[in-house]
Amino acid sequence: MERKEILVADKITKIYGIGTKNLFEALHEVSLTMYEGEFVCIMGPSGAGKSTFINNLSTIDIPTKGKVFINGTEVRVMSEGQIGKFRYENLGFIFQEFNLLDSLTIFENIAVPLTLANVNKEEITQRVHDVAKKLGVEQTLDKFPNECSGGQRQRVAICRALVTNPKIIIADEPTGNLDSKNSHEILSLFKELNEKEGVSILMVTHDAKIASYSTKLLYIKDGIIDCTIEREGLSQKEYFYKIVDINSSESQELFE
Amino acid sequence: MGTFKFSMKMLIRDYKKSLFYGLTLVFAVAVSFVFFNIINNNQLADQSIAVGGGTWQNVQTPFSSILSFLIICFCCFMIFFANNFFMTRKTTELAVMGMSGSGYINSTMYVLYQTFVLLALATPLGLLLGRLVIPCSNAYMYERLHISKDVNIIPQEAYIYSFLLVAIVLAMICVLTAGYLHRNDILVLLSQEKEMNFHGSSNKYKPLLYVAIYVFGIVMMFMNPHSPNAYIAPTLVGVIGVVGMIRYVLPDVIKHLKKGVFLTKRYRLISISNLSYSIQRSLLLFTLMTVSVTGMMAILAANQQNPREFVTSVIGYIVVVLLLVVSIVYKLIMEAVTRKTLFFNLWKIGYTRKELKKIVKQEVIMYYAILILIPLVYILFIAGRFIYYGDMTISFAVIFTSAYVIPVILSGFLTYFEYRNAVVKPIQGGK
Ligand SMILES: Nc1ncnc2c1ncn2[C@@H]1O[C@H](COP(=O)(O)OP(=O)(O)OP(=O)(O)O)[C@@H](O)[C@H]1O
Ligand SMILES: [Mg+2]
Repeated sequence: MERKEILVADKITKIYGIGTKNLFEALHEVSLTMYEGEFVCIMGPSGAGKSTFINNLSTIDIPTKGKVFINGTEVRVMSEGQIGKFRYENLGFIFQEFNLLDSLTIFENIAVPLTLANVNKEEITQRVHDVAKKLGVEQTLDKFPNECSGGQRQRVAICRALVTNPKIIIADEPTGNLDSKNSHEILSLFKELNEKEGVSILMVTHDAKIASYSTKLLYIKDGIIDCTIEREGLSQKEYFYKIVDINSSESQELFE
Repeated sequence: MGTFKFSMKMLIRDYKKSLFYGLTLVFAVAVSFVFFNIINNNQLADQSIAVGGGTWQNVQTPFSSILSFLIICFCCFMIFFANNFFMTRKTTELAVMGMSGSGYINSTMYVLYQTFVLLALATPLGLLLGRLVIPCSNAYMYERLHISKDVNIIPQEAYIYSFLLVAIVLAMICVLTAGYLHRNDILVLLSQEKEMNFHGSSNKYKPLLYVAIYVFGIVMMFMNPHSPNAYIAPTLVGVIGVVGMIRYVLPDVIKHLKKGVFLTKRYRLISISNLSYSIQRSLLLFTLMTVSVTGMMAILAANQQNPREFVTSVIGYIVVVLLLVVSIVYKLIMEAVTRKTLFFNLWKIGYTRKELKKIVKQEVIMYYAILILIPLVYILFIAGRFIYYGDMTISFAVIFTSAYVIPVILSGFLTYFEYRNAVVKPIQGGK
């Protein structure tokens, strides 16, 4: 089967603090090829470079060395406008901080990307309601962010990321504020989008159960990919144990 | 089109965030208009020359025109300050726009559309306000100069220059906005958390050096022979010392206090940390305040005998103090809002609301005490010298000093109540 490469990282290195005394290499020559329809999960200890990695992969940040290709084009040669268009048409971002606008209602918050793209009113209403229903925040549409719970706000941020029907979801600990029931509901939704609509997902998480929804797992440690596992034919449970295994071999070192 | 719609929607919804900026614009336009009126008013030309048959052209540029010009420059500066502030409060929506695919141009336009609207509203309002003030300022000056002329006549140039100024400001704002967004990519915008980091001094002698400079400024006043203009240079030296002291000495002092006596003081430890941070954040305003107040003192004292100069200086002084005080209050309140979580967490770990209020109070009092004291030392020395040489009455010195101290104290109260409402009041709900 011919699979399309959507995101390719070619030996990307990210060095923070250039121009200052404290240079810090957060990523060292990391490569990854992400195919259309993949669900890639990234795990690793805190400070390992996970956020740095997905930011660099998703046009939010530019690597110090190495290349990133999206749909076969190198990001560096793309114009602002092209990157913007690519983001609007393909990417849905979910960050740990929700970045909701306090002065807009939940409805309006979800609608922001559509408003910016000048989508007409009927369609906005339709799409916002659809996505809000999927994530169970229909009742909050007329409220303001500070009248919602942390979990609701998280789901609203997810709605905003999904309302443009992105082809790739980029998520940095999207379930950080949710209880396990809610987390699994959202992951089921991701999984459904991934399997039925071919949406690709790149997600950072600390939770092995959440990670077990993925099709491929990268374990990042000290700025390099320490190991990769693919789910391939494993059941979710078997895959989960494999993930736990990797994580625990990490914590094992604590006892040595 | 989408950007424009979104921009207008946010402007209306978030009108509170634009209020300070809008008011600064109105005020700055009004002040500039009033001073352009002074600069361009032939009647106010140097009387001796005007009486001697000279025309406006061969009158030497009077000092009041220079002063007016400086005040107009100051207004422009305040606009840029307010603009910068306006920008830093837009980071979330700019980040969200970036995530939704808006490029650099769209983000810039998003901010500029709002600026255009504000400026379009502020210009007529400012001119109107200026139009209301001008008869009063004219009447006062005409009376002092014994000129009989209709106070309502405003030279056309005043309008023309005011519009010209707005145009220049607009161009500058476009450049600044574009520059700001260029420097701050989406990642920076996303992580605009205000970290509390001090640039404490690495060098042991740096703090000492600045204290020495501050003192040297005072010594300089006594080295020069007394003359109205002799205090400008020492004041400038003193200001360098002030800035250095705030940047390098204060954090050090606070660090030592925190490690030592304050470590066990329940409130002091927190209020003093907040204080240090607040001062660092408003360093520029702090400096400007010191420069303006001491500088104006010297200028006013030197021009007590020239009504035109004197009136210009008085109006200028009021404008400058007012604008700075308002900006400082605003800046502090904004700073306070970002401390909501801090105070909420303090409450969670067992501080009572009463104690939290006390923490706020201590910080505000110390902040304004420093703001008053630093220039006051210089003011007192300058006034003392003038009085000693018989160039100033004691009542003048008292009026001048209270014209500085009273607004500052009032704004201290305002800051306290607003600050308290921002951080302690929300806790009442229990949340
Ligand atoms: N802007 C920055 N400047 C300097 N160093 C940075 C910056 N951002 C991140 N780092 C450093 O780079 C390393 C990787 O950071 P990153 O945010 O990618 O970690 P992470 O794996 O996402 O961690 P976490 O699980 O805690 O979110 C960290 O050591 C961090 O200190
Ligand atoms: Mg992270």
